[in-house]
Amino acid sequence: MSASEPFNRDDQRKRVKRNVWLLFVLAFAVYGGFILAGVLRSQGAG
Amino acid sequence: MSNATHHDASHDHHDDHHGPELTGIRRWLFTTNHKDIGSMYLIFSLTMLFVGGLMALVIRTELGQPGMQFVSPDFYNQMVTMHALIMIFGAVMPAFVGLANWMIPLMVGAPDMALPRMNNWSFWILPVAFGILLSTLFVPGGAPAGGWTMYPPLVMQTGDAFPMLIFSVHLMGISSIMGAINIIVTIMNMRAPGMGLLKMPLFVWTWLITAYLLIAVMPVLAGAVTMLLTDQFFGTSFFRAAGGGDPVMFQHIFWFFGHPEVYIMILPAFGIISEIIPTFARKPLFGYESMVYATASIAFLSFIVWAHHMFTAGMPLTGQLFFMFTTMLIAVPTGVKVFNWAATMWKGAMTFETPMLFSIAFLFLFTLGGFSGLMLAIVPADFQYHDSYFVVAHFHYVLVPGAIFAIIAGVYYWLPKWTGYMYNEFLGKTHFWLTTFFVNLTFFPMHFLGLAGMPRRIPDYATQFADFNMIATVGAFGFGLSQLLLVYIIIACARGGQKATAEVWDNPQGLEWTVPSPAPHHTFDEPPVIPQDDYHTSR
Amino acid sequence: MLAGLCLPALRRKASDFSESGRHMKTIERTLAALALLLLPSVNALAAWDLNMREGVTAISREIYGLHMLIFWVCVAIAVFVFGWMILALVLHRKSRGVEPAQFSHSTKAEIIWTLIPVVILVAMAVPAAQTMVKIEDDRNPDVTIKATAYQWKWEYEYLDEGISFYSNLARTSNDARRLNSGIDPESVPNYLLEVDNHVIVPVNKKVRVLITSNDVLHAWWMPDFAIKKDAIPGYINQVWFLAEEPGIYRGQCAELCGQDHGFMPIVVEVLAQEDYDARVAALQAEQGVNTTKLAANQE
Repeated sequence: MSASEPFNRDDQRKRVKRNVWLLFVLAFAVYGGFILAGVLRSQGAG
Repeated sequence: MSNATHHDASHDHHDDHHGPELTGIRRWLFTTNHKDIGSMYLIFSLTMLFVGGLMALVIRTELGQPGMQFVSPDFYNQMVTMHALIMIFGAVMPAFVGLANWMIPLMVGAPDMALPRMNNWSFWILPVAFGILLSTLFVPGGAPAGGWTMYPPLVMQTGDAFPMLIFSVHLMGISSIMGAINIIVTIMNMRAPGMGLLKMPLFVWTWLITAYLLIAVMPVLAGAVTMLLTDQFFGTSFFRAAGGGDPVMFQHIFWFFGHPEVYIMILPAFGIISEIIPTFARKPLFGYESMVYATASIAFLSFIVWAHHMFTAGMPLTGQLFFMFTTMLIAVPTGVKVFNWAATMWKGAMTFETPMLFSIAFLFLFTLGGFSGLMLAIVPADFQYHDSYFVVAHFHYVLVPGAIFAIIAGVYYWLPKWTGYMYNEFLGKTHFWLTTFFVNLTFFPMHFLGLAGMPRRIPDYATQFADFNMIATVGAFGFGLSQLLLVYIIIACARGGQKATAEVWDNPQGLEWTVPSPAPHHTFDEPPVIPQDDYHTSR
Repeated sequence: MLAGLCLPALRRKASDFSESGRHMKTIERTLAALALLLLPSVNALAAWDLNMREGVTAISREIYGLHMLIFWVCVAIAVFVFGWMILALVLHRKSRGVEPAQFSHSTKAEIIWTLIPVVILVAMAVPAAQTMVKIEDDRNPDVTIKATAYQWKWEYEYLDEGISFYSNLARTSNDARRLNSGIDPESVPNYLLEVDNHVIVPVNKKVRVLITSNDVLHAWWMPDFAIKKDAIPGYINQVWFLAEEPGIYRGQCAELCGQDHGFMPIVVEVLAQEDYDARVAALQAEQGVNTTKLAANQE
């Protein structure tokens, strides 16, 4: 965002929404990914 | 400057109130105001500091002299475990989130956090999480006693507290993740027009990077404890050797979370120090951009050093060497930061108000903790240091005169902005000298104890360790009592005193000093104009 | 009290350079006397251990050398960085009427203080890596002992000699460490560092220890050999040592293992070869080990 752009709260809200969903998906992907890695690892070792 | 005065706000959906809409308890329960939530985070953190501190005093009392005088070994282990969990997740992290809530919107010229309702939610989860955690002290089998690292198989021997521990860790994780998402989204989207990324104050920068670390690793911790839960109750064998599982895998997963967690607790501290030193040196921060890059490289390196917590667990030679090299590498960006701070002070015109005193103590004592960290990175020497009091001395030096001194410095620095009154400078300085003296009296002898061969997490010790332990215990009580003075100073400052000006200090830089003191309930309803010859760009 | 803290450090430093003349000894004695006056409670100055011990193996001495090297490197960096900051604190204070400079960049300085630490670190990493390679060379042991950890004791099995025994905290320490036992720990010899059955090993022989656990994590720490290794259920970790001096060496469990974590010490007795052989033979007789069958199995 540069100084020349007009400041618009509605644009801001849209960006916020998109960002939030992306970050939540990222967090759940990490959570699931590590449990999946644990499953694979304990299967392999057994 | 267009701040401070409330223009008509008809073009957006904010109501133009000068104070909170609700009163009494409902104001705090339902608030979506970043300043209220920031205050609640800080008060919560201060409370937890004292709860965890009392547990530390139980530990130090028992260790005051050889022999078992006061508590059973099992209760001692409960205190060790709870002290760590409460200090890390209840005191240090919420304090930084509280400062972020208060200051980030003020620093980037935003009217509030991007997600005010989620902000309320992420705070109010915390008292519930810690209520559950603390109530484990009263359930059959007592509180968790397997150490905050929750290593299996020992953690599986926890009594009824086990599922409560897991649930409270999940809650703390959810709170942190939501807080981190809120901070990232605020910083990325809510900056006033003209505030480019490389114009943000360093506190904002360090918090942005910290928030990404949180999102990357809190789910890892959640995954690890979920696997503990299913191992205990649903017959899986993630970590049970008898079922083909692997107890060392837990350590890898835990420290993949745990090491970035260490930086989560220190990067915002770097940010605070980078705000305070330029103000009292009356000189722009030296090497602003290299500070940003150093912070980012510390964050990156934090993901590839985790196994240095496990050098004694047994690892291939190449693995040990890799983790030794990467760990030593962290000293480079950290060194850059320390040198930059020193260069900021060099040829300045310094005055020594309480925030500056705490910042200078941070520079010296955090660096001391960094040195012992460098020593710990040397794998062969780590075989002697590992799990000894040398490690206890190391991480307390980076966390107490490191993270906590920075938090206290930040509180003194911004307190007049929050309350509208100056704190008592004489008492502040007294608090500083008492705290600094006792923190060293407590933790410096622990280096000697560790080198002499005293293991950590033991309730009783051989008699040759008696003298230094007695000194550390005296120091711990002095440190604990000195913090009562901090509480008094904060309460006195909230109630009155000399009126603070908007700038508070001598020409400090940053948008937070353009709003009146105390900061009105709503600020920057109209985005402020960012001066283009900002202090971060070269003069 | 702080003066009391510093003095033993000076004393230690003075004794490091004891070759450098008799006047050093005098200084040392004076400082020791001063320390005696200042210390809050002095049992014996010997109790004020300030540094890592050198130990009795080639590896432990090498590790001690690494420890001192990195320590002095840190001291040198500290002298520079702290000196710089202290100089700034003294010279560049507003009360002296100085005008603040306004510089905020110096690419040259940034490059210098990035590169110099890199060079120092590489210089540190090389000897550390060399020592690591030596530590990992566990070929051709003369004696192999398997140490199994339990909550809260150690079991030792001599794989080639066919003997085994448990090693518990000594009765004297165990009585004194009860809550409010009324027994003064100072009156117990080797309080918390004594066991009923010592691990016996021959001097100047390469002894391999295989470490595992039967329940939770523990760790086998022997400071005089610079060995610390976790005992993990389902894993067998290896360490080795070659002790050069007969004597009794004491260590402790170093990984939190439950309520009696502080009460499962490790004691290794290094014996001359003939004493070791006699002790092993006595244990074999006591435990009914068929030595001829054992020898036949090893053929």
